[in-house]
Amino acid sequence: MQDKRLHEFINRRLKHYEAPYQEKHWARMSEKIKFEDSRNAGLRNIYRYFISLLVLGVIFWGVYQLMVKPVSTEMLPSTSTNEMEVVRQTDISENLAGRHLFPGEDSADIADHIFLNAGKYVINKMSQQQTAAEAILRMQYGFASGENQLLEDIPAELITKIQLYYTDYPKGKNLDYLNKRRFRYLLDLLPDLAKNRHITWEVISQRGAMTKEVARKYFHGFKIYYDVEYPGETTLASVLPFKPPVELALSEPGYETFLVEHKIRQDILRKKIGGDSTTYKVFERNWSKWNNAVVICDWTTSMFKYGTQVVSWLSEHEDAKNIKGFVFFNDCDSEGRALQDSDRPGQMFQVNSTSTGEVLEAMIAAVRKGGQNGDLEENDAEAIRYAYESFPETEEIVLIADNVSPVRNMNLIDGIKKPVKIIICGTTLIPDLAIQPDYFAIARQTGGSIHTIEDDLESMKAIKKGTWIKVGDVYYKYKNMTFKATNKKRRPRGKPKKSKGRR
Amino acid sequence: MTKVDIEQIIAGCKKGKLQYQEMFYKHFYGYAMSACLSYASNKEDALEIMHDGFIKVFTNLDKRDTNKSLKSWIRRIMVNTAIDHYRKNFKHQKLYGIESAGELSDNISIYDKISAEEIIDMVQSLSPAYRIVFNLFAIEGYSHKEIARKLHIAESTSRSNLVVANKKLRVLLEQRLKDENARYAG
Repeated sequence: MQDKRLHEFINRRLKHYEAPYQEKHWARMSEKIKFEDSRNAGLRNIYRYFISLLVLGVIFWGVYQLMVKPVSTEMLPSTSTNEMEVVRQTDISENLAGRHLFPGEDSADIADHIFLNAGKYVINKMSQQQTAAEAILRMQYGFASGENQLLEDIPAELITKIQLYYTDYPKGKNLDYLNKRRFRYLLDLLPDLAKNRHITWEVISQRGAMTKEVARKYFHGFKIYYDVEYPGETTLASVLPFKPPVELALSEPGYETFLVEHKIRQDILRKKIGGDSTTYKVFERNWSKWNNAVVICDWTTSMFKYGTQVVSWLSEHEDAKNIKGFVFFNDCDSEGRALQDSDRPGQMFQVNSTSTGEVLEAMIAAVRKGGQNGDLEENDAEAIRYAYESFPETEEIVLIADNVSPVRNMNLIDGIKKPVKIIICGTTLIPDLAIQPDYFAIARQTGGSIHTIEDDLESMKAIKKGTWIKVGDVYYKYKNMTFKATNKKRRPRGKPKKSKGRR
Repeated sequence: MTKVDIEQIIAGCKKGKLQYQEMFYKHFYGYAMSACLSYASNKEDALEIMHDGFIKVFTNLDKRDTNKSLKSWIRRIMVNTAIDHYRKNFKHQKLYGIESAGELSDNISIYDKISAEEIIDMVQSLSPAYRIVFNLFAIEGYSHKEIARKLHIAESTSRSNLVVANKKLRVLLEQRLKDENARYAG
């Protein structure tokens, strides 16, 4: 018999065979089913138990994260070379918030509260290195007082972190009372600290000293970190007083202006260009092509980030001989009052050099005389007229313009015989409106040009169908006599190349 | 039992009700047992395979494709359970050669006297490795490639095991016929 026939034979014989049922087998089967059920129930219970544990763990972890935030040693850069154990840090900002609103509570209570809730750390010894953005309040071993005149110069708003260092000697002795007194002393010295919710407070125990003589040599007192370079580090820093004017109380409106000044100063010192580097890039691409130009800058509040880029650029190109000066304008009149009457000219702040310091001085002066009148239109036209008349020797006018704002008094452009090169900053915030029409009109009327973050439209006549420009972070395509917004995230291939520039 | 009855029983089984599971078990016992018998060495092993198979059936009734035959689904589960059983218990068992078998007659009618139980006994007498390959190839219709994949063996092993199983079965059939002839001759 062949294999195949053997298989067929066996298949045929077994095909209809059914084993006779035996009742006793069901008894065994039912026992097996019950056993499996109970086993599965047990497994399910174990599973549920673990899930419950997991959920509880997650909840506990969440609550722990909310109540107590552990921090890494990276938060303590000045002591990073030391061995450091993170004990805990508690976010006390919320607790402190508003405490100064209770006149009945004295600074001692607040100081004690800060001490108790500050993050606690252990290191061997503090690094003696001090950076520019730190101030020290040194206290003697075992004492709770010290002196540093400079501390009073640091506005409490600019302070980001305060660390108290003490030495754990004699070992294990409770020094809380001493350290509380140190905090009280600090708050007596700088009472405004209690108003700053954003300060990170830390208490750092140094455990490296084995003898009293060694402990005495360790640093004791406060290290204060603030968010600005220390004055005197750079010539630019001397342009601005670090302190607000003595007569300026914190509650007065002028104090805000002081903080704005600080922000501008910081941006310039750190060469901070910001997310939209239009001004810097346009200057980088074009400055060498300009002939005896005067630069006009819209210096209203929303344009600060574009204006500071001029100084950042200028600090690298103070020898730019082809730039003859600057004009800054804002919304206000010569008395610093917000302009309400559209016929009245705003005050112009003129600089006849490319000295960074002088330019910065003019910018700060304009900030101090600034304000917001709420009008959308800006004084570009009168600034152009002013620059045209004040800088007769120049051949070109560069205007750093706010693309959100149309231009007030466009009739002032009549008679301007020099090309106005307009740097378009930001978007219009209007869909499908790439650039305010007034700027096109000025460029067309004066034979000037339009410059955006990536593009230079040297001639208005050169704009043709299919021309791409990037304004702010949006790409527009010229079609049917207008620029249409696209959803392109990058410039399409084969189109005019992106200009090289920073960022 | 009608289709409606079966559906009711299945619904009861899905709810884990023992009386419905008993009805289901009784209904498919013969079919499942006969499938398992040829994969086992004896009835006890077959019963163990079948019970394990029924547990899987009860557990997976929800996942069954209702468009396909229930019986073939049960059979597939039983066969897979038998394969698991083989993998667990016999995979590394040593195989022994068999004596050579003579050629049998091609006239298969002469074997009609052999009952299904006797055939099952013969298949059961094969060693597990030969038996499972024989069953999967000759009864279930799997290819050697599929068998090799299921049993985690080489394809050539599957082929050679089938050859040996065939020979062994021929010997057994020949012996069975000789015994039958001797009984009548006597």
